[in-house]
Amino acid sequence: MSQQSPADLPADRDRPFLGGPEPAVQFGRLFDTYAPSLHRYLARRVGAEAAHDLVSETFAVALDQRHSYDPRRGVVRSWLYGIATNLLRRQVRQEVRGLRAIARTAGHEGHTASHDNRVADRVDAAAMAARLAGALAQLSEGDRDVLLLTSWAGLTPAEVADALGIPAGTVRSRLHRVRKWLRANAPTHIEEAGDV
Amino acid sequence: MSEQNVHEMWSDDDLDLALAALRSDVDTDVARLAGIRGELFGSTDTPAPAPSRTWIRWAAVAAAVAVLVGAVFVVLARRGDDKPVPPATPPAVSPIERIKAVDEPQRPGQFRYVGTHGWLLGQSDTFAYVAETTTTTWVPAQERQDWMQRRTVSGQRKFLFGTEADAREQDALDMWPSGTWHARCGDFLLEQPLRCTGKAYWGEPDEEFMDSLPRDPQQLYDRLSAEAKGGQSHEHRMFTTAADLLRNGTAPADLRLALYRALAKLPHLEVAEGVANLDGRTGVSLAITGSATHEVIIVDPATGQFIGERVVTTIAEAGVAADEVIVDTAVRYGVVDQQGDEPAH
Repeated sequence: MSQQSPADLPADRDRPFLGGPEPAVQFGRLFDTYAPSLHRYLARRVGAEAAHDLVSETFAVALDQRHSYDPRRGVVRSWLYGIATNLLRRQVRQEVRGLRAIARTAGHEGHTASHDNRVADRVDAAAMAARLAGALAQLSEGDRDVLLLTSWAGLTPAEVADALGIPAGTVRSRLHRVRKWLRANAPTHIEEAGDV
Repeated sequence: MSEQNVHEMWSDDDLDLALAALRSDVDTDVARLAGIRGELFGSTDTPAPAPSRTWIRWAAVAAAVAVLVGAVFVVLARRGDDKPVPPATPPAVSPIERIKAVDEPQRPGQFRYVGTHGWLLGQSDTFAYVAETTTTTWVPAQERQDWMQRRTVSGQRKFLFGTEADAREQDALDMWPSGTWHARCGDFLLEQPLRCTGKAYWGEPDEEFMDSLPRDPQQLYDRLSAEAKGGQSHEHRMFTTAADLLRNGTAPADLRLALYRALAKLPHLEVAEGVANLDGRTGVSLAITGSATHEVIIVDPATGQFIGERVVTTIAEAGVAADEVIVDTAVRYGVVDQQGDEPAH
Protein backbone atom coordinates (compact mmCIF):
# COMPACT_ATOMS: atom_id res chain seq x y z
CA MET A 1 0.00 0.00 0.00
CA SER A 2 1.27 3.43 -0.78
CA GLN A 3 1.51 6.18 1.76
CA GLN A 4 -1.72 8.10 1.95
CA SER A 5 -1.87 11.76 1.20
CA PRO A 6 -2.54 14.04 4.16
CA ALA A 7 -6.07 14.66 2.95
CA ASP A 8 -6.77 10.97 3.05
CA LEU A 9 -4.97 10.27 6.27
CA PRO A 10 -7.77 8.96 8.38
CA ALA A 11 -6.63 10.03 11.78
CA ASP A 12 -4.46 12.52 13.55
CA ARG A 13 -4.79 14.94 16.39
CA ASP A 14 -7.51 16.91 14.60
CA ARG A 15 -9.16 13.83 13.18
CA PRO A 16 -9.10 11.24 15.94
CA PHE A 17 -10.85 7.93 15.73
CA LEU A 18 -13.54 8.00 18.34
CA GLY A 19 -14.59 4.39 18.21
CA GLY A 20 -11.73 3.14 20.33
CA PRO A 21 -12.02 0.95 23.36
CA GLU A 22 -11.76 3.72 25.95
CA PRO A 23 -14.33 6.29 24.84
CA ALA A 24 -14.48 8.03 28.20
CA VAL A 25 -10.74 8.58 28.18
CA GLN A 26 -10.72 9.81 24.62
CA PHE A 27 -13.74 12.06 25.05
CA GLY A 28 -12.26 13.43 28.24
CA ARG A 29 -9.32 14.63 26.23
CA LEU A 30 -11.61 15.95 23.53
CA PHE A 31 -13.48 17.88 26.18
CA ASP A 32 -10.29 19.37 27.60
CA THR A 33 -9.25 20.49 24.15
CA TYR A 34 -12.48 21.91 22.80
CA ALA A 35 -14.94 22.62 25.62
CA PRO A 36 -13.50 25.98 26.75
CA SER A 37 -13.58 27.55 23.28
CA LEU A 38 -16.93 25.95 22.49
CA HIS A 39 -18.33 27.34 25.71
CA ARG A 40 -17.07 30.81 24.92
CA TYR A 41 -18.62 30.67 21.47
CA LEU A 42 -21.97 29.48 22.77
CA ALA A 43 -21.90 31.97 25.65
CA ARG A 44 -21.49 34.80 23.18
CA ARG A 45 -24.54 33.55 21.38
CA VAL A 46 -26.94 32.67 24.19
CA GLY A 47 -25.27 33.60 27.47
CA ALA A 48 -22.91 31.76 29.79
CA GLU A 49 -25.53 29.83 31.70
CA ALA A 50 -27.28 28.35 28.70
CA ALA A 51 -23.87 27.69 27.16
CA HIS A 52 -22.89 25.41 30.03
CA ASP A 53 -25.92 23.27 29.34
CA LEU A 54 -25.23 23.28 25.62
CA VAL A 55 -21.61 22.23 26.10
CA SER A 56 -22.73 19.38 28.31
CA GLU A 57 -25.37 18.31 25.79
CA THR A 58 -22.97 18.63 22.88
CA PHE A 59 -20.46 16.24 24.41
CA ALA A 60 -23.15 13.85 25.58
CA VAL A 61 -24.55 13.71 22.05
CA ALA A 62 -21.05 13.37 20.61
CA LEU A 63 -20.29 10.41 22.85
CA ASP A 64 -23.58 8.82 21.99
CA GLN A 65 -23.11 9.36 18.27
CA ARG A 66 -19.37 8.80 18.07
CA HIS A 67 -19.89 6.21 15.36
CA SER A 68 -21.23 8.97 13.13
CA TYR A 69 -17.93 10.87 13.16
CA ASP A 70 -15.81 9.93 10.20
CA PRO A 71 -12.32 11.41 10.43
CA ARG A 72 -11.95 11.13 6.69
CA ARG A 73 -14.71 13.67 6.22
CA GLY A 74 -13.65 16.46 8.51
CA VAL A 75 -11.87 17.60 11.62
CA VAL A 76 -13.44 16.76 14.93
CA ARG A 77 -13.87 20.43 15.80
CA SER A 78 -16.30 20.89 12.91
CA TRP A 79 -18.25 17.87 14.01
CA LEU A 80 -18.56 19.20 17.57
CA TYR A 81 -19.60 22.67 16.41
CA GLY A 82 -22.10 21.04 14.08
CA ILE A 83 -23.70 19.21 16.98
CA ALA A 84 -23.68 22.39 19.06
CA THR A 85 -25.25 24.36 16.20
CA ASN A 86 -28.11 21.89 16.00
CA LEU A 87 -28.69 22.15 19.73
CA LEU A 88 -28.51 25.93 19.53
CA ARG A 89 -31.49 25.95 17.16
CA ARG A 90 -33.78 25.46 20.12
CA GLN A 91 -32.56 28.72 21.59
CA VAL A 92 -32.91 31.01 18.62
CA ARG A 93 -35.56 33.13 20.27
CA GLN A 94 -33.39 33.57 23.34
CA GLU A 95 -30.49 34.59 21.15
CA VAL A 96 -32.54 37.10 19.21
CA ARG A 97 -33.99 38.58 22.40
CA GLY A 98 -30.46 38.98 23.74
CA LEU A 99 -29.25 40.72 20.59
CA ARG A 100 -32.20 43.09 20.63
CA ALA A 101 -31.55 43.90 24.26
CA ILE A 102 -27.98 44.82 23.39
CA ALA A 103 -29.19 46.84 20.41
CA ARG A 104 -31.40 48.89 22.73
CA THR A 105 -28.36 49.92 24.77
CA ALA A 106 -26.96 51.56 21.64
CA GLY A 107 -29.01 54.67 22.30
CA HIS A 108 -27.50 55.32 25.69
CA GLU A 109 -23.93 56.14 24.96
CA GLY A 110 -24.12 59.82 25.73
CA HIS A 111 -24.02 62.67 23.31
CA THR A 112 -21.22 64.94 24.28
CA ALA A 113 -19.36 66.80 21.57
CA SER A 114 -22.11 66.21 19.11
CA HIS A 115 -20.15 67.19 16.06
CA ASP A 116 -17.55 64.58 16.94
CA ASN A 117 -19.98 61.82 17.58
CA ARG A 118 -19.32 59.97 14.39
CA VAL A 119 -15.58 59.97 14.98
CA ALA A 120 -16.00 58.93 18.58
CA ASP A 121 -18.45 56.22 17.61
CA ARG A 122 -16.15 54.76 15.04
CA VAL A 123 -13.47 54.16 17.57
CA ASP A 124 -15.85 52.99 20.19
CA ALA A 125 -16.03 49.30 19.44
CA ALA A 126 -18.56 48.63 22.14
CA ALA A 127 -20.92 51.15 20.69
CA MET A 128 -20.51 49.68 17.26
CA ALA A 129 -21.09 46.21 18.64
CA ALA A 130 -24.34 47.38 20.10
CA ARG A 131 -25.43 48.74 16.74
CA LEU A 132 -24.41 45.56 15.02
CA ALA A 133 -26.48 43.48 17.43
CA GLY A 134 -29.75 44.77 16.04
CA ALA A 135 -28.71 43.87 12.52
CA LEU A 136 -27.53 40.43 13.59
CA ALA A 137 -30.93 39.81 15.13
CA GLN A 138 -32.47 40.29 11.69
CA LEU A 139 -30.37 37.60 10.02
CA SER A 140 -31.72 34.15 9.39
CA GLU A 141 -30.39 31.44 11.69
CA GLY A 142 -28.37 29.89 8.92
CA ASP A 143 -26.76 33.19 7.98
CA ARG A 144 -25.95 33.95 11.59
CA ASP A 145 -24.41 30.50 12.01
CA VAL A 146 -22.13 30.98 9.02
CA LEU A 147 -21.03 34.43 10.14
CA LEU A 148 -20.45 33.62 13.79
CA LEU A 149 -18.90 30.19 13.30
CA THR A 150 -16.39 32.04 11.17
CA SER A 151 -15.94 35.18 13.21
CA TRP A 152 -16.40 33.95 16.76
CA ALA A 153 -15.52 30.27 16.61
CA GLY A 154 -12.72 30.87 14.14
CA LEU A 155 -13.70 28.04 11.82
CA THR A 156 -12.50 28.09 8.23
CA PRO A 157 -15.13 28.07 5.47
CA ALA A 158 -14.38 24.39 4.90
CA GLU A 159 -14.89 23.65 8.58
CA VAL A 160 -18.11 25.65 8.66
CA ALA A 161 -19.25 23.66 5.64
CA ASP A 162 -18.53 20.40 7.47
CA ALA A 163 -20.26 21.63 10.60
CA LEU A 164 -23.41 22.69 8.77
CA GLY A 165 -23.40 19.98 6.15
CA ILE A 166 -23.38 22.38 3.21
CA PRO A 167 -20.86 22.90 0.41
CA ALA A 168 -17.85 25.10 1.15
CA GLY A 169 -18.72 27.25 -1.86
CA THR A 170 -22.10 27.96 -0.35
CA VAL A 171 -20.43 29.02 2.88
CA ARG A 172 -18.16 31.46 1.09
CA SER A 173 -20.93 33.01 -0.97
CA ARG A 174 -23.24 33.20 2.00
CA LEU A 175 -20.53 34.81 4.11
CA HIS A 176 -19.90 37.38 1.41
CA ARG A 177 -23.59 38.19 1.08
CA VAL A 178 -24.17 38.42 4.84
CA ARG A 179 -21.19 40.69 5.41
CA LYS A 180 -22.28 42.94 2.58
CA TRP A 181 -25.78 43.14 3.97
CA LEU A 182 -24.54 43.93 7.45
CA ARG A 183 -22.20 46.63 6.23
CA ALA A 184 -25.10 48.25 4.41
CA ASN A 185 -27.71 47.77 7.09
CA ALA A 186 -25.97 48.06 10.44
CA PRO A 187 -26.55 51.67 11.43
CA THR A 188 -23.54 53.91 11.10
CA HIS A 189 -25.19 56.32 13.47
CA ILE A 190 -27.68 55.77 16.18
CA GLU A 191 -31.23 56.01 15.02
CA GLU A 192 -32.67 57.97 17.79
CA ALA A 193 -36.23 58.82 17.15
CA GLY A 194 -36.47 60.27 20.63
CA ASP A 195 -33.57 62.58 19.93
CA VAL A 196 -35.12 64.42 17.09
CA MET B 1 -34.03 56.53 9.09
CA SER B 2 -31.62 59.34 9.77
CA GLU B 3 -29.93 61.13 7.00
CA GLN B 4 -26.50 59.71 7.76
CA ASN B 5 -27.76 56.19 7.33
CA VAL B 6 -28.92 56.66 3.82
CA HIS B 7 -25.48 56.86 2.28
CA GLU B 8 -23.11 55.69 4.97
CA MET B 9 -21.91 52.15 4.96
CA TRP B 10 -19.62 50.18 7.26
CA SER B 11 -16.24 49.10 6.07
CA ASP B 12 -15.08 45.50 6.46
CA ASP B 13 -12.83 46.69 9.27
CA ASP B 14 -15.78 48.29 11.03
CA LEU B 15 -17.69 45.08 10.79
CA ASP B 16 -14.82 42.97 12.11
CA LEU B 17 -14.23 45.43 14.94
CA ALA B 18 -17.86 45.33 15.97
CA LEU B 19 -18.05 41.54 15.69
CA ALA B 20 -14.95 41.17 17.83
CA ALA B 21 -16.34 43.47 20.48
CA LEU B 22 -19.87 42.11 20.62
CA ARG B 23 -20.34 40.02 23.75
CA SER B 24 -16.59 39.67 24.09
CA ASP B 25 -16.86 39.91 27.85
CA VAL B 26 -18.42 36.50 28.45
CA ASP B 27 -16.89 34.39 31.19
CA THR B 28 -16.17 30.73 31.07
CA ASP B 29 -16.50 29.20 34.49
CA VAL B 30 -13.65 26.70 34.53
CA ALA B 31 -14.97 24.93 37.60
CA ARG B 32 -18.35 24.45 35.95
CA LEU B 33 -16.70 22.95 32.90
CA ALA B 34 -14.61 20.65 35.08
CA GLY B 35 -17.82 19.53 36.72
CA ILE B 36 -19.43 18.77 33.38
CA ARG B 37 -16.36 16.85 32.32
CA GLY B 38 -16.41 14.85 35.52
CA GLU B 39 -20.06 13.93 35.09
CA LEU B 40 -19.63 12.86 31.50
CA PHE B 41 -16.18 11.34 31.31
CA GLY B 42 -14.65 11.29 34.76
CA SER B 43 -12.43 13.97 36.17
CA THR B 44 -8.94 14.71 34.93
CA ASP B 45 -7.49 13.67 38.27
CA THR B 46 -8.83 10.15 38.33
CA PRO B 47 -8.97 7.57 35.58
CA ALA B 48 -12.19 7.69 33.60
CA PRO B 49 -14.71 5.08 34.58
CA ALA B 50 -13.97 1.99 32.57
CA PRO B 51 -17.02 0.81 30.69
CA SER B 52 -17.99 -2.69 31.64
CA ARG B 53 -17.49 -4.82 28.65
CA THR B 54 -16.56 -8.21 27.49
CA TRP B 55 -16.25 -8.39 23.76
CA ILE B 56 -15.73 -4.71 23.33
CA ARG B 57 -12.17 -5.13 24.48
CA TRP B 58 -11.49 -7.04 21.32
CA ALA B 59 -11.71 -3.83 19.46
CA ALA B 60 -8.09 -3.54 20.43
CA VAL B 61 -6.97 -6.88 19.14
CA ALA B 62 -4.14 -7.01 16.70
CA ALA B 63 -3.35 -3.35 16.74
CA ALA B 64 -1.51 -1.09 19.07
CA VAL B 65 -4.58 1.06 18.93
CA ALA B 66 -8.10 0.04 18.15
CA VAL B 67 -9.55 1.78 15.17
CA LEU B 68 -13.23 1.60 14.54
CA VAL B 69 -15.52 3.81 12.63
CA GLY B 70 -19.01 3.54 11.38
CA ALA B 71 -20.69 1.56 14.09
CA VAL B 72 -20.62 1.04 17.77
CA PHE B 73 -19.56 -1.98 19.65
CA VAL B 74 -22.16 -3.51 21.81
CA VAL B 75 -21.27 -3.12 25.43
CA LEU B 76 -22.36 -6.19 27.25
CA ALA B 77 -23.68 -5.91 30.73
CA ARG B 78 -21.24 -6.70 33.43
CA ARG B 79 -21.77 -10.05 35.00
CA GLY B 80 -20.95 -11.42 38.37
CA ASP B 81 -17.89 -13.48 38.93
CA ASP B 82 -17.59 -16.87 37.37
CA LYS B 83 -19.54 -19.61 38.96
CA PRO B 84 -17.24 -21.59 41.20
CA VAL B 85 -15.60 -24.34 39.23
CA PRO B 86 -12.85 -26.60 40.44
CA PRO B 87 -9.36 -25.36 39.62
CA ALA B 88 -7.88 -26.84 36.49
CA THR B 89 -5.68 -29.78 37.35
CA PRO B 90 -2.10 -28.71 36.78
CA PRO B 91 0.06 -31.08 34.74
CA ALA B 92 3.05 -32.56 36.51
CA VAL B 93 5.36 -29.99 34.92
CA SER B 94 3.47 -27.12 33.44
CA PRO B 95 4.37 -26.34 29.83
CA ILE B 96 4.60 -22.76 31.05
CA GLU B 97 7.70 -23.72 33.02
CA ARG B 98 9.31 -24.88 29.80
CA ILE B 99 8.72 -21.65 27.94
CA LYS B 100 11.96 -19.83 27.13
CA ALA B 101 11.98 -16.16 26.31
CA VAL B 102 14.49 -14.55 24.01
CA ASP B 103 14.50 -11.44 21.85
CA GLU B 104 16.13 -11.21 18.46
CA PRO B 105 18.90 -8.59 18.69
CA GLN B 106 17.97 -5.18 17.26
CA ARG B 107 20.75 -2.77 16.33
CA PRO B 108 20.30 1.02 16.37
CA GLY B 109 18.55 2.02 13.16
CA GLN B 110 16.83 -1.32 12.79
CA PHE B 111 13.13 -1.94 13.33
CA ARG B 112 11.32 -4.63 15.22
CA TYR B 113 8.59 -6.06 13.01
CA VAL B 114 5.28 -7.10 14.56
CA GLY B 115 2.82 -8.40 11.98
CA THR B 116 -0.65 -9.52 12.99
CA HIS B 117 -2.92 -11.34 10.61
CA GLY B 118 -6.35 -11.66 12.08
CA TRP B 119 -10.09 -11.87 11.92
CA LEU B 120 -11.52 -9.15 14.07
CA LEU B 121 -15.02 -8.50 15.28
CA GLY B 122 -17.12 -5.58 14.11
CA GLN B 123 -20.54 -5.37 15.64
CA SER B 124 -23.57 -3.23 16.28
CA ASP B 125 -27.09 -4.00 17.37
CA THR B 126 -28.14 -5.17 13.90
CA PHE B 127 -25.11 -7.13 12.72
CA ALA B 128 -21.86 -8.73 13.73
CA TYR B 129 -19.07 -9.83 11.48
CA VAL B 130 -15.43 -10.73 11.58
CA ALA B 131 -13.22 -9.04 9.02
CA GLU B 132 -9.81 -10.14 7.83
CA THR B 133 -7.10 -7.59 8.55
CA THR B 134 -3.34 -7.40 8.58
CA THR B 135 -1.72 -4.89 10.89
CA THR B 136 2.02 -4.46 10.86
CA THR B 137 4.07 -2.25 13.14
CA TRP B 138 7.71 -1.30 12.65
CA VAL B 139 9.14 -0.39 16.04
CA PRO B 140 12.36 1.65 16.18
CA ALA B 141 15.25 0.75 18.45
CA GLN B 142 14.50 3.79 20.59
CA GLU B 143 10.84 4.28 21.28
CA ARG B 144 10.92 8.06 20.88
CA GLN B 145 11.96 7.62 17.27
CA ASP B 146 9.48 7.22 14.44
CA TRP B 147 7.23 4.17 14.45
CA MET B 148 5.20 3.08 11.45
CA GLN B 149 2.02 1.08 11.34
CA ARG B 150 0.20 -0.17 8.30
CA ARG B 151 -3.17 -1.85 8.14
CA THR B 152 -4.65 -3.58 5.16
CA VAL B 153 -8.05 -5.21 4.96
CA SER B 154 -8.75 -8.03 2.56
CA GLY B 155 -12.44 -7.23 2.21
CA GLN B 156 -13.25 -10.73 3.44
CA ARG B 157 -15.98 -10.77 6.04
CA LYS B 158 -17.91 -13.50 7.78
CA PHE B 159 -21.25 -12.46 9.14
CA LEU B 160 -22.13 -13.99 12.49
CA PHE B 161 -25.42 -12.15 12.67
CA GLY B 162 -27.24 -9.81 10.30
CA THR B 163 -26.21 -9.23 6.70
CA GLU B 164 -23.88 -7.11 4.65
CA ALA B 165 -26.86 -4.88 3.84
CA ASP B 166 -27.41 -4.27 7.54
CA ALA B 167 -23.81 -3.21 7.97
CA ARG B 168 -23.86 -1.07 4.85
CA GLU B 169 -26.95 0.70 6.10
CA GLN B 170 -24.94 1.86 9.10
CA ASP B 171 -21.95 2.72 6.93
CA ALA B 172 -20.09 0.07 8.89
CA LEU B 173 -18.75 -2.30 6.29
CA ASP B 174 -15.25 -1.04 6.90
CA MET B 175 -14.90 -0.77 10.62
CA TRP B 176 -11.19 -1.39 10.26
CA PRO B 177 -9.86 1.29 7.93
CA SER B 178 -6.71 0.71 5.93
CA GLY B 179 -3.85 3.11 6.13
CA THR B 180 -0.30 3.87 7.06
CA TRP B 181 0.46 5.90 10.11
CA HIS B 182 3.59 7.30 11.67
CA ALA B 183 4.09 8.31 15.29
CA ARG B 184 6.77 8.45 17.88
CA CYS B 185 6.29 6.04 20.77
CA GLY B 186 3.66 4.16 18.78
CA ASP B 187 0.84 6.56 19.66
CA PHE B 188 -0.61 6.29 16.20
CA LEU B 189 -4.22 7.24 16.43
CA LEU B 190 -4.64 8.89 19.75
CA GLU B 191 -5.57 12.51 19.91
CA GLN B 192 -3.19 12.97 22.77
CA PRO B 193 -0.35 10.55 23.27
CA LEU B 194 -0.35 8.20 26.23
CA ARG B 195 3.04 6.64 25.76
CA CYS B 196 6.16 8.57 26.66
CA THR B 197 3.98 10.94 28.67
CA GLY B 198 3.77 9.10 31.97
CA LYS B 199 0.22 7.98 31.10
CA ALA B 200 1.07 4.60 29.62
CA TYR B 201 -0.81 1.60 30.96
CA TRP B 202 -1.28 -2.10 30.19
CA GLY B 203 -3.14 -1.47 26.96
CA GLU B 204 -0.78 1.29 25.76
CA PRO B 205 2.52 0.38 27.36
CA ASP B 206 5.77 2.23 26.89
CA GLU B 207 9.25 1.30 28.06
CA GLU B 208 8.94 3.26 31.27
CA PHE B 209 5.70 1.46 32.18
CA MET B 210 7.08 -1.96 31.29
CA ASP B 211 10.27 -1.26 33.24
CA SER B 212 8.10 -0.48 36.26
CA LEU B 213 6.46 -3.92 36.24
CA PRO B 214 8.00 -6.53 38.56
CA ARG B 215 9.76 -9.53 37.02
CA ASP B 216 9.01 -11.67 40.01
CA PRO B 217 5.92 -13.71 39.01
CA GLN B 218 4.20 -13.40 42.39
CA GLN B 219 4.77 -9.65 42.55
CA LEU B 220 3.59 -9.28 38.98
CA TYR B 221 0.52 -11.38 39.79
CA ASP B 222 -0.22 -9.07 42.71
CA ARG B 223 0.19 -6.00 40.51
CA LEU B 224 -2.13 -7.48 37.88
CA SER B 225 -4.63 -8.35 40.55
CA ALA B 226 -4.56 -4.83 41.94
CA GLU B 227 -4.94 -3.11 38.57
CA ALA B 228 -7.36 -5.44 36.78
CA LYS B 229 -10.87 -4.25 37.50
CA GLY B 230 -14.18 -5.44 36.13
CA GLY B 231 -14.40 -7.88 33.27
CA GLN B 232 -16.34 -11.10 33.28
CA SER B 233 -14.54 -12.06 36.49
CA HIS B 234 -11.47 -10.87 38.27
CA GLU B 235 -9.45 -13.76 36.90
CA HIS B 236 -10.76 -13.07 33.42
CA ARG B 237 -9.81 -9.44 33.69
CA MET B 238 -6.33 -10.26 34.98
CA PHE B 239 -5.85 -12.54 32.02
CA THR B 240 -7.10 -10.05 29.45
CA THR B 241 -5.11 -7.22 31.01
CA ALA B 242 -1.94 -9.25 30.53
CA ALA B 243 -3.05 -10.08 26.98
CA ASP B 244 -3.58 -6.37 26.27
CA LEU B 245 0.07 -5.74 27.03
CA LEU B 246 1.38 -8.80 25.19
CA ARG B 247 -0.66 -7.96 22.09
CA ASN B 248 1.42 -4.83 21.54
CA GLY B 249 4.38 -7.03 20.71
CA THR B 250 6.85 -4.76 22.47
CA ALA B 251 7.22 -6.51 25.84
CA PRO B 252 10.82 -7.58 26.44
CA ALA B 253 11.62 -11.25 26.96
CA ASP B 254 11.98 -11.11 30.75
CA LEU B 255 8.65 -9.38 31.15
CA ARG B 256 6.87 -11.86 28.86
CA LEU B 257 8.24 -14.75 30.84
CA ALA B 258 7.20 -13.16 34.12
CA LEU B 259 3.70 -12.55 32.74
CA TYR B 260 3.23 -16.19 31.70
CA ARG B 261 4.43 -17.34 35.10
CA ALA B 262 2.15 -14.88 36.82
CA LEU B 263 -0.81 -16.09 34.76
CA ALA B 264 0.12 -19.66 35.71
CA LYS B 265 -0.96 -18.73 39.23
CA LEU B 266 -4.56 -18.09 38.14
CA PRO B 267 -6.63 -20.83 39.76
CA HIS B 268 -8.61 -21.60 36.60
CA LEU B 269 -5.97 -21.14 33.94
CA GLU B 270 -6.08 -23.85 31.27
CA VAL B 271 -2.78 -24.78 29.66
CA ALA B 272 -2.27 -26.93 26.58
CA GLU B 273 0.50 -27.71 24.12
CA GLY B 274 0.44 -27.96 20.35
CA VAL B 275 -2.34 -25.40 19.88
CA ALA B 276 -2.31 -23.78 16.43
CA ASN B 277 -2.71 -20.09 15.76
CA LEU B 278 -4.66 -18.73 12.79
CA ASP B 279 -1.81 -19.45 10.40
CA GLY B 280 -1.16 -22.96 11.71
CA ARG B 281 1.90 -22.26 13.85
CA THR B 282 1.67 -24.13 17.12
CA GLY B 283 2.60 -23.22 20.65
CA VAL B 284 1.62 -23.42 24.29
CA SER B 285 -1.83 -22.06 24.92
CA LEU B 286 -2.95 -20.27 28.06
CA ALA B 287 -6.70 -19.88 28.36
CA ILE B 288 -9.37 -18.67 30.69
CA THR B 289 -13.11 -19.05 30.47
CA GLY B 290 -15.21 -16.09 31.52
CA SER B 291 -18.97 -15.91 31.72
CA ALA B 292 -19.36 -14.96 28.05
CA THR B 293 -16.14 -15.86 26.28
CA HIS B 294 -13.32 -18.37 26.28
CA GLU B 295 -10.02 -16.56 25.71
CA VAL B 296 -6.84 -18.15 24.50
CA ILE B 297 -3.36 -16.78 23.97
CA ILE B 298 -0.76 -18.85 22.16
CA VAL B 299 2.93 -18.62 23.05
CA ASP B 300 5.94 -19.89 21.11
CA PRO B 301 7.76 -21.96 23.76
CA ALA B 302 11.12 -21.39 22.07
CA THR B 303 11.01 -17.57 22.17
CA GLY B 304 8.23 -16.72 24.57
CA GLN B 305 6.62 -14.64 21.86
CA PHE B 306 2.90 -14.10 21.83
CA ILE B 307 2.03 -15.65 18.48
CA GLY B 308 -1.71 -15.36 18.44
CA GLU B 309 -4.99 -15.36 20.27
CA ARG B 310 -8.49 -16.63 19.89
CA VAL B 311 -11.79 -15.68 21.50
CA VAL B 312 -14.79 -17.96 21.35
CA THR B 313 -18.23 -17.10 22.64
CA THR B 314 -19.55 -19.40 25.34
CA ILE B 315 -23.10 -18.09 25.35
CA ALA B 316 -25.43 -16.58 22.78
CA GLU B 317 -25.51 -12.84 23.22
CA ALA B 318 -26.07 -9.66 21.24
CA GLY B 319 -27.24 -11.71 18.27
CA VAL B 320 -24.12 -13.88 18.17
CA ALA B 321 -24.52 -17.57 18.92
CA ALA B 322 -22.40 -19.55 21.36
CA ASP B 323 -19.24 -21.26 20.09
CA GLU B 324 -18.51 -18.60 17.49
CA VAL B 325 -14.91 -17.51 16.99
CA ILE B 326 -15.00 -13.72 17.27
CA VAL B 327 -11.26 -13.07 17.29
CA ASP B 328 -8.55 -15.20 15.70
CA THR B 329 -5.02 -13.99 15.04
CA ALA B 330 -1.49 -15.01 14.17
CA VAL B 331 1.50 -12.77 14.95
CA ARG B 332 4.92 -12.83 13.27
CA TYR B 333 8.04 -11.08 14.50
CA GLY B 334 11.35 -10.11 13.05
CA VAL B 335 14.01 -7.42 12.88
CA VAL B 336 14.40 -5.48 9.64
CA ASP B 337 16.54 -2.63 8.37
CA GLN B 338 13.79 -0.35 7.10
CA GLN B 339 10.19 0.46 7.81
CA GLY B 340 8.07 -1.40 5.30
CA ASP B 341 10.48 -4.34 5.08
CA GLU B 342 9.28 -7.86 5.75
CA PRO B 343 11.42 -10.28 7.76
CA ALA B 344 13.13 -12.98 5.73
CA HIS B 345 11.84 -15.91 7.74
